[in-house]
Amino acid sequence: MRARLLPTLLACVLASAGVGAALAELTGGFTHWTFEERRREHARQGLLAAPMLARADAPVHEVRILDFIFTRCPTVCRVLGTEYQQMQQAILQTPGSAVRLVSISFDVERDSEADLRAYARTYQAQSPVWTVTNSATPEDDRRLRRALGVVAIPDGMGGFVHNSALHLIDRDGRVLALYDYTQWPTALAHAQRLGTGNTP
Amino acid sequence: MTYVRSWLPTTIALLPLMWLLPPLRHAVESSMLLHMLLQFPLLLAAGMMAGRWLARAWPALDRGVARIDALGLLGAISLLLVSAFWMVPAALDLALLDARYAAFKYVSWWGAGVLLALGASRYSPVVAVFTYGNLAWMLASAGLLYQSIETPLCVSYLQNEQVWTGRGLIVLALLLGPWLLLRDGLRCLSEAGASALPPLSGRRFPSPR
Repeated sequence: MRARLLPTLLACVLASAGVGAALAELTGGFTHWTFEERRREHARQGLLAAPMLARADAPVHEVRILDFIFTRCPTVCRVLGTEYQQMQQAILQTPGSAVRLVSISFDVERDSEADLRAYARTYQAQSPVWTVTNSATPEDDRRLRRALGVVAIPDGMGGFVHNSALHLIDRDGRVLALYDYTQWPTALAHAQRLGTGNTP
Repeated sequence: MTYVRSWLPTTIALLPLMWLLPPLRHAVESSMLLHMLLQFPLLLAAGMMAGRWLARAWPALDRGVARIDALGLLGAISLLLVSAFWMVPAALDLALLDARYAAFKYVSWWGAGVLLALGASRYSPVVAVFTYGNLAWMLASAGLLYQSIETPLCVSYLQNEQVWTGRGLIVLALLLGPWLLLRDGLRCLSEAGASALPPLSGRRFPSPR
């Protein structure tokens, strides 16, 4: 019996080690148990990037503060619009700032060019500081959000729920940092430091 | 009835093939409750049916596994490890967003089912009580967590679905735990009682000398 138990115990230890290693990989060493925590850690490590957002012709220090919206959003996007308005004001008052604001609609099916223009008018978005846009096709939208780890799901009331954050993105499409909406002054200050070439 | 009995295991064993149909897969995986409380158990059941078939069709495999699965311990540990892994919210999201995790989900649940079935003849009631006790505790703990946290843990599911899944896990724990504990716990107690009496017809395992 003992002779049979030893290989069994070894196999159990190996199975535990295998699943333990997979769990460690999944949770970044047993620290990030949700997808969003994992995404933010990847951003901190410089592992999050959307190459399709690269802009070779942009100024070297350009930093974009990007988030996803849908124009029919009655709640969070409205608050975000107001925050973007305040950030736009601050950027306009900073001479030589290479910080740009980008609002991308993921509701590619319903948000027409006219809807995007109306959204930009509502919040007085001034190009080129603040651009309101969307992906060309649903496939482009899917690829972009997959690269950034942004998931939008129907909320059952005609809208969407999505993991929202302010993404600081350099001109190569790399995510430099992620901030919650409430942290927008910190996000803007970080972007302004990078956007004027003064790294922190 | 015999017809049903002969076809039911085959049907269950082949059930994972239906996840190859994207509309069906999306329908089940878009609900947290169905993802955890329908797809996971079905994959496990499919593995168990496949394991039973493999034990008959490939005795050498059964003998090989028997060498590293005394008392059904490896199957039991595998079930607990796989269950623990797939209770992690990040794993649930990645199963939908990353093909590697999706593949691991199918292989891990199915594999745990195969090992459980192969070890069924060796399963000691003590191991069963340990396994199902832990499994019920794990399901209940995850369920309590899911239903009490007020923010969504998964980006792929709404918070109200999380609450319903939490309740579902608690109900499953309350049904599964006591039933299996009673079944195997009573066997365990009766064997313990029997071993306390002088043996009537020999022992189950030879005593160590």
